Amino acid sequence: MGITNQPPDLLPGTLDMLILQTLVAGPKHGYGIAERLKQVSQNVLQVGESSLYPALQRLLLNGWVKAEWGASENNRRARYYTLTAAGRKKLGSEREEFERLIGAIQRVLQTG
Amino acid sequence: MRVMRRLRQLFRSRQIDRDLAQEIETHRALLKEDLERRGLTPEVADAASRRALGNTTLAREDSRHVWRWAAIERLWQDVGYGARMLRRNPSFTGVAVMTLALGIGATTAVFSVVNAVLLRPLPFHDPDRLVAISIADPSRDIREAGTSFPTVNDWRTQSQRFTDLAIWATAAARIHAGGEPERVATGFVSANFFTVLGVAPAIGRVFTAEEETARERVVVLSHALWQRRFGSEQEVVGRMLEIDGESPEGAVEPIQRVRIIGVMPDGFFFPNRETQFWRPATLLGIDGKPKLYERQWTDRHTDRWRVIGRLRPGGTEANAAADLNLIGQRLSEAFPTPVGRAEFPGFATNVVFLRDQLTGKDIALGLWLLLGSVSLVLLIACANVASLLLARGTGRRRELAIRVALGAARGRIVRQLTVESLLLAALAGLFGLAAASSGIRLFASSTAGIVRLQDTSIDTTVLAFTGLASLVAALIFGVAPAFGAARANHHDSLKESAISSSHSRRTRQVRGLLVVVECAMAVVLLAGAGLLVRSFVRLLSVDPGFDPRGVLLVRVDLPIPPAPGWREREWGAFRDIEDRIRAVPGVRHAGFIQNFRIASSPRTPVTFEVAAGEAEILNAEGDLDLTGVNVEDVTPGFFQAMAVPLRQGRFFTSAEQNQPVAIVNEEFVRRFMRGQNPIGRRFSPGAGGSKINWHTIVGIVGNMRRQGLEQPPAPEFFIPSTEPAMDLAVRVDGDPAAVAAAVREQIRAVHPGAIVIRMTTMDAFLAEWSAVRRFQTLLLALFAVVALALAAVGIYGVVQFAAAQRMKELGIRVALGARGFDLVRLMMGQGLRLPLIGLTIGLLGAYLLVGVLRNLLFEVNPGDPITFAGVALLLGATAIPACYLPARRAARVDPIVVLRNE
Repeated sequence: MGITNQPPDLLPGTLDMLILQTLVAGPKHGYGIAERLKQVSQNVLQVGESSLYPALQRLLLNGWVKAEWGASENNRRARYYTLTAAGRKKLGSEREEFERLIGAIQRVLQTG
Repeated sequence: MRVMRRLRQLFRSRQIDRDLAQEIETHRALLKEDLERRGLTPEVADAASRRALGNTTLAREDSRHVWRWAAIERLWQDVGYGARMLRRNPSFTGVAVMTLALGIGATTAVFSVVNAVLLRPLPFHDPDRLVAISIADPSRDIREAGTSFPTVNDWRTQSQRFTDLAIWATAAARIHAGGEPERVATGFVSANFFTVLGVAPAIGRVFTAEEETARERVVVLSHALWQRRFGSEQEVVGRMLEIDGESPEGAVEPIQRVRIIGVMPDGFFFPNRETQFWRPATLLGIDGKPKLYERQWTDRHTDRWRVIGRLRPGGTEANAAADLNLIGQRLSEAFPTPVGRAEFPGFATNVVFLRDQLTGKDIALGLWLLLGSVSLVLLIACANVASLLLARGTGRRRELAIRVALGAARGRIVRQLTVESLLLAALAGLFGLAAASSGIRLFASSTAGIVRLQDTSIDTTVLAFTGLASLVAALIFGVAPAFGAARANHHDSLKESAISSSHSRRTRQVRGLLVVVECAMAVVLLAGAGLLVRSFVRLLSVDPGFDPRGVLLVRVDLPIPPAPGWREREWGAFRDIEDRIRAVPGVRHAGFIQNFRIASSPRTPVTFEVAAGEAEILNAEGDLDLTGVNVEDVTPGFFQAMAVPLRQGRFFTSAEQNQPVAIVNEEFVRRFMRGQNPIGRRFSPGAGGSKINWHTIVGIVGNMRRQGLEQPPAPEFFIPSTEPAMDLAVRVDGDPAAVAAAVREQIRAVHPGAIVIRMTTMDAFLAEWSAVRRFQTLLLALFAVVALALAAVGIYGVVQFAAAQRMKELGIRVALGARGFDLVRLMMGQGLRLPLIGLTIGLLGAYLLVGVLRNLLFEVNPGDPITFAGVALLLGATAIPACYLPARRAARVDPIVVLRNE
């Protein structure tokens, strides 16, 4: 360990959407979010804390998530993020937008 | 929403920072645990987790930045930087803040008085439509006289300018029930009076028209009386109040019980706070004598009632007055003043806003004048601080140049300096406010009889004023130095050692200009203060006609019921008191007078016998100039107690009660006796006709100025008689206050029910007469002295600055053989030029401005040359040492040190 592959450049704004998506299943702390993203993406998306935490603050500022201090699995003080109603709505619209974009890119790529 | 969250963040940034730090630490710890689970040793896991996380500070900063608001952020930076700069120069900051705090504090204090007395609305509904209507006839020196009941009725029915008119009068009264009898003022008002003012009672109700005409014995209490006498009892309506005093017609009333029907709200007063309850204007006086008073109600030619009115929309003071004067014209034709009623003031009316009448025009003028003066002090303080900032700006040029070189925009520099100025002003505003709040306690406790002065307080209006004054001050003293600093050529500054660059030359010019302006303003203030001080000194040197030293003045009220023979009993009681007090050790003389102070100009007519024994009567309205004769009841000992000189004849004896004898004053003799020997001559109070009551003149005394020292003495005569309430003068050897207890005891011994209403030394009583003038004079003099001191500081600063800039040149001069004296002369010659220019401008400005003072002066001409010369001398005496001290220091320059420094 120790050598982490640089995560591939994400399209702008997608990190916020991905974080929101990980929170759909329930509240998570920062480390949990990062781990979840890594697992689900099979180690493709490794989000460093230097992008994760600013992103979380951005989501807080916009009111898409709420933060609360609580105890982690090992009784450590951790800050749990919960999706708000506004966040859920945002996730939906982001998702639509993203799928439209991906679809468009794929259509471009499929043309000989 | 975002804005709200961001604003919250401003106050919670530390919290957010802590949260982030902990969060990231948790992140690392969890990572470490994971690594350990995969088989790494704790040490390796720890190191690996740290490495994995990399620069956590950056992560934290980036996270924090999400919340940031660039503009506010930068402003905070400027504020923080400014605060650091101010802290780093504590002496500069201290001087600047204290100078400004002095100006802002003084201005705030005076404004709080103006606010309480002049600006705060009267406690009535829509007070701007309320007017006071008086009879005014400048040709007879009548300014604010009342009128008769029928005339008010004519005004009410014939003029369309008012929604309604109401009448009022004040009288003295005593409250008996419950504890010590208490002397208060009371108001007699018409039933519609409170409706015209538009104020509803806090409890109960006010008078009805039926109560007015049926002469019901009902009363409405002031809030203060209700609190004091009835302990704020809610169920006060229907209870009785036991009172006596004067009837609305001015006659003495016996003790009677009146029913309480209402309580006015807190803050309501009319016409002043001393008035404690109100009764319907037609309240009957003594039982069984209604006819006597009926006549007063139908008599056209009295001046008993004061009038207030509420203007209709479209009504102004001017057109209302024109209306009433038109009606008055008709009335004066229909009801010519009958023979023998010369005291009737006539029908010519004057309408002024109620606020102006309650406050008084000269008082308003004086207060505005003080506010103007204190604003000048604030301006001078600003000029001084601007000058200080300019001087400091020279020292800071390198710092600013470096900042510009490092990429700071000029706008940013201007903003930086402006923020510093605002910080200074804000600090000064806080200190000033603190100083003002202790200052206004002095105003509020002042004895100056200004209506509502005691209401002076720091309210939101005053706070807003202080804030605005601080802001304006910051702009005045801060803007020029800020732009000056930003405009400067920073390229030169960095290469600098060249001291006499164009920059410092310009700084010197601006600072010189500031000193000129400061001196000019100080001179204007000094001239104004000088004129007032001269007036006051003049006033103090006026001979009052009696000797106030060692005299105790006591107002005694004897509640003797008006039963048969009560006049004799009253005289006897007062004579007994006089005798007993004279026996108190240390007392030399004692005597009573009806009213020691004459409040308003009296107008009793007098009829003279042409020659002794001849029946022919010379009517007062004939060829004699009779503007007013004052009559006063006295007891035999009075004139000796006041040390009033006897010019001719004799004093009264104690056997002469109500005898047809009189003592007249010199003014009386001068006006009416036309060189004949007055002793033995006879005259009759009143205007002759069938009511002749001859009095023989038995003595002539000197004039007393009892209308205030500013009024010329009135012609007076004194008769040996008494009234229920009299002023007792007690002359003692030594301190008059020492016999106060004994005097009180002797009065009680003669009549247990006697009330001592007031007990003061005559000196204190006289001081009260001139309290308003003293108040104005003292404040203006204080402001002028502060202005002068600030100007001196300004001069000192500029000369010192000039010396510092020319150090090298001075060193060379010394090296070439100049003596210290030459250098002092050189520096002073240039330094004194500024105050001299300021003096010239200031004297010119003062000469143009002092005209507004005219009404406040006493026997001093606004252009008084002595005052102006004194001001010039005073400024000179201040400016010379202010120049000399820094000049002398500069002259001690050691040429070797200066030249080596190059």
